[in-house]
Amino acid sequence: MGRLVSQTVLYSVIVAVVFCILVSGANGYSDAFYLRFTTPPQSSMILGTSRAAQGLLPQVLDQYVPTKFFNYSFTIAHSPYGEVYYNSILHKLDSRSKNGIFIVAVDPWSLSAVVTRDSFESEFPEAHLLLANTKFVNLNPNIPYIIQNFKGKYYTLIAPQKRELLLHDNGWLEVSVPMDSESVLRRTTAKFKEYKEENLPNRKISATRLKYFAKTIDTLKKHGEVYIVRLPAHSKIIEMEHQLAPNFDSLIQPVVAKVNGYLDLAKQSESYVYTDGNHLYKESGAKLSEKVGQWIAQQRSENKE
Amino acid sequence: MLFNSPEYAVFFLVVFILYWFVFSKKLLFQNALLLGVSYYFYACWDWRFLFLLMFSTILDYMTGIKMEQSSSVATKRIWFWVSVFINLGFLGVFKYYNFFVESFTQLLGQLGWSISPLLISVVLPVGISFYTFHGLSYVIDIYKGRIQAEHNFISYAVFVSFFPLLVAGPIERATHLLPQIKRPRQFDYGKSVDGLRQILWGLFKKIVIADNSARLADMVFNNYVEYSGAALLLGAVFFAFQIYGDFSGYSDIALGSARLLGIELLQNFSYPYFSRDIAEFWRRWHISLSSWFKDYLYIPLGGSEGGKWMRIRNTVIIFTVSGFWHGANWTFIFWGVLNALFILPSIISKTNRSNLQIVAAGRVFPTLQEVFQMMATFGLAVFAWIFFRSQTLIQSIGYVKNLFVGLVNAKGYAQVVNILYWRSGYVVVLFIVFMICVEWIGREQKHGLAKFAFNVHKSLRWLVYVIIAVMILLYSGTDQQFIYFQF
Repeated sequence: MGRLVSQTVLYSVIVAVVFCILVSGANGYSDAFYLRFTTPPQSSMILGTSRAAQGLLPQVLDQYVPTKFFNYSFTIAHSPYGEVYYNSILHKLDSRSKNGIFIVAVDPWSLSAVVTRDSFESEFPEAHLLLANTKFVNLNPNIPYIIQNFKGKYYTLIAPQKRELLLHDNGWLEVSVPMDSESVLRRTTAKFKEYKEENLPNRKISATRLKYFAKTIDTLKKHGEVYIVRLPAHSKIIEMEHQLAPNFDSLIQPVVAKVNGYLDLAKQSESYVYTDGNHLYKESGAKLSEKVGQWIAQQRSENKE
Repeated sequence: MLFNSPEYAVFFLVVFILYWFVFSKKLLFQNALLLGVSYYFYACWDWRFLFLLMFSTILDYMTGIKMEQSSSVATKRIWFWVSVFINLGFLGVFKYYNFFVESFTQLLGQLGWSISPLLISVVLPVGISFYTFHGLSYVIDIYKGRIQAEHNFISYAVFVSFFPLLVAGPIERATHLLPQIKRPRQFDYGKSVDGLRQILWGLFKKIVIADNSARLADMVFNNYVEYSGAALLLGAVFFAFQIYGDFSGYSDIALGSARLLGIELLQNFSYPYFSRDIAEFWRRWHISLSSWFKDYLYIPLGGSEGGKWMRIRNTVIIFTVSGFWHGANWTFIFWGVLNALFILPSIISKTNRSNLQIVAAGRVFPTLQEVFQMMATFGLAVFAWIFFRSQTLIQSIGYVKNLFVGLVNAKGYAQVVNILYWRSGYVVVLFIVFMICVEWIGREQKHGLAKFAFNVHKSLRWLVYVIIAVMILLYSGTDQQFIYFQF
C-alpha cells in the first residue's frame, strides 16, 4: 500500500508541475481577467469597471506620472463598488506602499444596484462571481483561479482560440473589433437597448455601494494619492446616467472632497470614439489616458506649489 | 458527480482511504461503507430517485428469498412475475410511457381520431435501465435455479448499487459479482496499479477523444442540411469515436475504480473497432448488455437451436429490443433493426462465430484482408451510428441522403478541409490515431494501457503516463455528461 501511495503522490506531483509549467504560458488572449491575478501586489492602480479596463492605458499614463500603473478594473457585473471589489483591492494592494497613485473611475452605474421585486441591496450579484471566488490574486500560475473560474478547456490558456480581447501585462484590456460604421452602429444600438430597457428601469443608486466607494477611497488614501475620474461615454448613455442619478456630483461630493482631484469627462462625449457607445475605442482610450495623465501631473505640481 | 469531475476524484480518494485503512478489519464494515457511499454517490445525482433504487433493491431481495422459500412452483412463479412486472413497470413508466402514448396518439390521428393524451413530465432516473437489469438478472437466475437467494441484505444491496457501475454499467451478474462482495478482499498492489492505469486510459478516451470528437460531430449533425458528402461522412466518423471514447472510457473508469477496491467487474468493451465482422463487433461492444440479452432473451426464445427462421426471428427481436433499451425513440429502434440486418447473413450462413479471437493475435500487423474486413465492419457501424445519433428518423434519412448524394460534390471535400484545418479537427484526428495505436498494441489485454510500453524502461513508461495525464488536464475544464447516462 505504501508503495502505491508514494508512487501515486510522486506521479501526481510530476503531472501537477508539468501542468503548472504549461499553464504559466497563458497569455493575454487566454482570458479577459486571468493575467490581473498573476502579478505581484501593486502600489499604483486604476480601478473601476470595463470603461476603465478598456479606456485607461497604464503605458500612456506612465509617461506623465512617475509610477507604474496597473489596471485592476473589471466589469460592471464584477467590480461595481462594494464589499467584493473592496476586499479584492485590499488583496491586490501592496500593503507596504505609501507613495502609490490611484485612479478611481466612477459613474452612476458603478454605484447602483439592481432593484428586484423582493429586495434592494439585500444581495449583490458580484458575490457569486469570480472576484468573490478569487482569494489569491497575486499567484503565477494562478491554479485556484483556473480551477474555479476559467471557463472552457484549459488548453485554450496556452493556445487561445479568440483574438478579439488582449489583456496586457499591465492590466489594460485591448479590444479589437471591426470599427466600420455598420458594425459600430449595430453594437451601439444593442448597447443603448440594453441600458434603456434593462439597466435604467431596474437600477437605482445604492447606499451600500456609496459607503464602500468611500471606504475604498479612505483605504487608498493611506497608501498614496487618489484621483477620481468620471469617464466619457456616448451622449445617450450619459443622458441615461443623468436620469439614474440627477444629482450625481453632489452624491459623490463628500468623497471627492477627500481626494487629490476629480476630473469629470462625461461632458466631453463627442471628443472620443466608442466601440459600442459605452467603451472607448483603443485609440480614443490612448487619447483620454494622455489627457488624464497630463491632468494628474498638473494636479501634482499644483499641490506641490 | 461525474467520473471526469474533480469531485469524483476527491470522493474516490476518501472512499479508498476509509475502505483500506479504516473499515478493512471486517468485511461487513467494508460492505456497509460501500453501500453508504454508493447511496451518497447516487443521491448526488438526484436524491429523490434514491428511494426508487432502494425500493427496487428491497423488492428483488425479498422476491429472491420468497422464491427460495416457496414450497410450490406456482407460488414461486407468482413472486417471479410480481418482481418482473414491477421492475419493468418502473422502467416502462419512466422511460417509455410518453413514447407509447405519443405513438398511439399519432396512429389514432392518422386513422382520423383525435385524443388528448395524458403525458407525464418527469426526468428519467439516472441508471434505471442498468440497475433494473441487475435486479432482473438476479431474480431470473434464482427462478431458473442457477443461484441461491442472497440473505445478507447489505451484500445484495451492494451488488445492485455498487457506485462504479450504478449509473451506466457494466450490467453485472449475481453469479460474478456477489461472490466477490461476500469474500474478504485483500489489497493487491499489481491490480491497484492496473486499476489506476485503466482509469487514466478511460479519462483520456472520455476527455480527449470523446469530448473533442463531440464538438465536431455536433457541429455536423446539428447543421447537417448545410453539409454534404464527405463532410457528413467525417461527422459520422467523429461520432463513432465520440460514442466509443465516451462509453468505453466510462467503463474503463468504472472497472479501474472497482479494481482499486479489490473487485473485478465484467469487461464491457474489447476493441470493437478492430472487429472483422458485425457479429464480432457485437461480441466486443457493450459486452455486458449483449450477453445479458443473449442469456435472458435470445436463449430463452430458442437461440440458435431452432431452424433458420427461428434464428432470424430471435436475432431481429434481440437487436430491436436492444435498440429500444437505449431510448424511447424510433431512431434507436431502427438502429437496432439495421444491426440485425447487418448480422443476419452471418447468422443464416452460420459464420457468425468465425472470428472469436482478437484480430492478428500474436502478430504485430494485420493482413491486408483483415484490414479490409475491419474497415468494412467499421463502415457499417458508422452508418448505423447515424441513426443512433440523429434526433428523428427524418433527420437520419436526410443525413444519409445528403451523404451519398454529396459524395461526388466538391463542396463536401472543401467542408472537410474547413473542419480539419480551421476547426482544429486535425488535432482530434491525431489524438484518435494515438488512441488507435495504443489500443492496437494493447488489443490482447483487458484495456489499452494494461501492458503498454512494458518492454521499455520504466522512466519512458512514466513519461507516457505523464503525457496522457497532462493531455487529460489540458482538455478538462467543462465537465461533459456521459452519453450512456441518459439510457
